[in-house]
Amino acid sequence: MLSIKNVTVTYDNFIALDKISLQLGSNCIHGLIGQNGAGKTTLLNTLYGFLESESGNITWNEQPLITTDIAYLPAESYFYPMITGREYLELICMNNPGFDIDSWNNLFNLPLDNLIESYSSGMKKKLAVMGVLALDRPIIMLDEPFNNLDIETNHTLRAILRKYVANGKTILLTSHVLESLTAICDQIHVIENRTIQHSFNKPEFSEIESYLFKKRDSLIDKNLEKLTK
Amino acid sequence: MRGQYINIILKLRYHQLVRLLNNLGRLRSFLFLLFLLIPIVIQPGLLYELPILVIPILHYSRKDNRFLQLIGIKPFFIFSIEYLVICIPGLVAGLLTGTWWAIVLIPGAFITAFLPSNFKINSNRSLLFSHYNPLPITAYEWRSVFRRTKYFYYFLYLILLIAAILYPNTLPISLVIVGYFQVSFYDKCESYQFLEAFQRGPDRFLWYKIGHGLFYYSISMIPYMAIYFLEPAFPLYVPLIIYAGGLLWVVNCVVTKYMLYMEGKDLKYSYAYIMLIVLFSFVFPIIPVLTASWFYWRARNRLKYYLYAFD
Repeated sequence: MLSIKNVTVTYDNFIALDKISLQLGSNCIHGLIGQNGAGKTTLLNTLYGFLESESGNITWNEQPLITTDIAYLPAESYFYPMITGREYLELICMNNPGFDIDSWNNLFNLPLDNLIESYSSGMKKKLAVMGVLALDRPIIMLDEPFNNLDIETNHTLRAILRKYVANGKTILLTSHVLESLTAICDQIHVIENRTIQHSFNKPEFSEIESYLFKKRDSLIDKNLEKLTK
Repeated sequence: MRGQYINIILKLRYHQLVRLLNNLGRLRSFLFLLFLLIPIVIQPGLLYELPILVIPILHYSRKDNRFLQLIGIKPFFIFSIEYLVICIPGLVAGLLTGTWWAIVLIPGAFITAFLPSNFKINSNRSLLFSHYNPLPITAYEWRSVFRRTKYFYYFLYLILLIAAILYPNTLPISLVIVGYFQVSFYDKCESYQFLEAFQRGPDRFLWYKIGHGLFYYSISMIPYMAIYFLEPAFPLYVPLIIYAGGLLWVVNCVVTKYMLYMEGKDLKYSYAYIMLIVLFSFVFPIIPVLTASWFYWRARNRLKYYLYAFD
């Protein structure tokens, strides 16, 4: 169980996360949804340790959370220039020599012996996802993982994540596209005003849209009429 | 385990270098290596002086800090190894020539590896003078750098100004350091819509950017030149040559940026180009003039793909 209790993060006198509390159980895919700037990536960066929380605590199985417990895929990945996909994965596999690059590549179909510069943005994303899977850690955090992925790879990634969850891992995904989360998650947490406003279990997913867009729809109706005359 | 890290990182760096040279092509690789070796043959001391300049530049422009943390490798460890490898030729040359101070490269490499590798701000909520900015929006490169480096550039400028007032002998070094930061104004490529907003063809656009760069560089040099005239510590031509060199430097920065322009990209190689030009200019002072002309021609040809306006 990944436990987040009353975590507050501030920088430059701005409260980025305000007393966030969340319980993320194992064998479960958790989704995090919210507007741009709501704090999704900030929460992931805090969990990984890139940002320090002012208060609260974060534990994994009742022990302090450490970075070697987490495999984190950021929204934008970094690749060294002039290296091939295979070299990128070999660097990551230093921590997990048992990762069979070629067998996994049968699922992703990447030209691993070509330079990463020649990859499209979708291929780079696939490579970054492979890198995260290569780390083989109990918690997997993916920030906007389905962006730029083709339909087939989306389908493959969902299957992989379901398998990982069945094997006891804890997975946390973020997205600003609701459908990408409802298709795979067991729980979805809504982050708004820098805190968790509501959590929905799978049977309640049909209520998320009306919860998110209730206020927004009346604002849109009011202004769109004026703007599009 | 650490031995394996060292092995794989050094192998990776070797492959990157070989591929870079392959990309340049045989003739350009040969010329590149020749221009690198000639100054060293003429002045072997460059072998142990260059790392003092090159390592901080490399360290400041690194972007792999977070990536290394994400894959479970301590950045300090990798940075130290890489910087020590860069220092090896200098160390050997220093020991062979009896220049014992070259040994300082070793602790220098570790100290640099320990320093933060960027001065980027996390948010825009504490901009210095955020509600007042004397720079017009057309000087967006300068605005961007001041904000990216938070207080560092102001702090550095003030420190160098104070040093120049108290110790006029430091004036040439201060001018070189301030001039060096001009490079960082031109290492990020704006979107092509930005370029189009100027509504000029390649030639007029380039001259506009060069003119802007020279204007702001000259403004930033005014306090230093004023200090010189009030407290001359050198013959007149010394600061004037450095100032003129800085003007050429700015021109090279601008044309190098647009020669390498790719929409939205960071230009990692522009630092290398500029530092090589500076290096070669100590041996062949005409080099910056030649490179400014050649790179201008290449920048103009590149911009033709992006700009719809004609001159």
